[in-house]
Amino acid sequence: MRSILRRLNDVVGVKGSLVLTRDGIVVASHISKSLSEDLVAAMASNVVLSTRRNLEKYGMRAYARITLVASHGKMVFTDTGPAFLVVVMDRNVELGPVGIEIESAAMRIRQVGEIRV
Amino acid sequence: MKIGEKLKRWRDLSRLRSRLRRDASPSAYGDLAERLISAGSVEEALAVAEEGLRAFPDSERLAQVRLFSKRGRLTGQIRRLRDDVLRRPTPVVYTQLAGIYRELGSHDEALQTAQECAERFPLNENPYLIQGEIRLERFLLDVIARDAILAEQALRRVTRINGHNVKAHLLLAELYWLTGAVSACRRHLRSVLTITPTARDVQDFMRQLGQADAQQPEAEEDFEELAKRIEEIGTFANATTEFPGLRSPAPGEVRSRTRVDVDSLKLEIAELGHTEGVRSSILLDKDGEILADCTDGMGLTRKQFGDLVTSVSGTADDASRRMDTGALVRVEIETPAGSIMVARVRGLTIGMLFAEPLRADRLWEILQDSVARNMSAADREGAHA
Repeated sequence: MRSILRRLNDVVGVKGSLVLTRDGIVVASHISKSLSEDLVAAMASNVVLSTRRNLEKYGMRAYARITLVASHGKMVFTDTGPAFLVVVMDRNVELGPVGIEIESAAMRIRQVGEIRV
Repeated sequence: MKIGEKLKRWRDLSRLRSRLRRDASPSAYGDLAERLISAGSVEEALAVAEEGLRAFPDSERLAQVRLFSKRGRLTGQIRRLRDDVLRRPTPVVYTQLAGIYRELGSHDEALQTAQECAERFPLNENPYLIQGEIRLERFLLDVIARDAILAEQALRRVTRINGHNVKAHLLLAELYWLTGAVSACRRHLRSVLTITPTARDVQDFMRQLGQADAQQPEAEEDFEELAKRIEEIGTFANATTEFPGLRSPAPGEVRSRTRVDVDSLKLEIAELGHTEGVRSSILLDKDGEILADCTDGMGLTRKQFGDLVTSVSGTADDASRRMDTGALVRVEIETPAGSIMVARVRGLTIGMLFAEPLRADRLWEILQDSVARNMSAADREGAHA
């Protein structure tokens, strides 16, 4: 899992990535020095859980991906089956090409299969 | 190149130019700039992108074009400066490198470079000045208290290291002016006048400030409290346009000086609901009240969709603020049944529920064009509408 994240972090503009379970527990992470791992994990867990709760409340099914664009950064949360892949990026990153890398990392995580915490 | 191809390219460019003259929008500028890049006219593309960004500072596409056009020119310089940082680091090299990152719009890298410089040369004022400038620029753009607090800390440090740094005094004064700490603002402007007694714009401003103060005396307040209050209300205590400045406004500041014509945006958002693929569209004000909406009546009710958009936008905005990535611009949620896009514009929230054949990037472009058409300058007013 870590090697998948390490490879993803080599993409230009990617500042960090982590995998967390549907309950918000961190499975693996690879975060650059400029970010706090605990902060990213707490934020990601909050976004994943709140969004799921919100959608369920209105009878909508689970989501495949959340893309969050802020004025100084971007974040993508991708459903990988048993867990979520969270990627934190620079604001200048073009989501199209990086999206392909994220999707391929998510596919490899799906192939890892069972996740034990 | 064959004559036929040249003629085709020329026709293409002149069609895009006349479209831009007819109906200036972010996509019209973007189309022309991208076509110019593919024709090899990178400098002209940069000029078009910059002109577009002056009119539509929110456009991501134009920002990308500008970045692409500049990156080619600046990559060599970045490589050389990075090399210098490794071999013979000096504050000047770090400052130049941070400056290039800023020019490219990479605030994070500029801040990181400044931080590295501050760790190596703690008695040099330049890295703190860079941090202060960037944080102030961010505060003007997003109105987030944390940026104001960090800007103040960095700029105060500059004035401690070098009490004669005019720029730092002026930036500090601007920061205090924006947050309503007028006495502190006056104090730093006095320092500016002590160092440069002939600064006429500062003299004029001090005179105005004196008159205003005579009518309304105010006590000194805790800066953090003031900054937090500004974040809460989302509006600066005093207008940015009135302040005398050394610097030309950054794109973000241009953004903060424009406001949305809510009435015409309401019509546009309701109209967007009839676009193929859009199932629901909604426009909410700062308090989550529905201003306009359009729904196909097959899914969520207007109240339900409004509540969903409010909570999604709240969660996403909170996440971006906590991560120090600024204020929320947009969030997209892809579900098997369709997608939700929530965008924030000057305190307004736009929500769209859509599905195939409409794609998220196309919808975002339509939304940006709609919002851009309803922007107008807010001269002489407090920033964020």
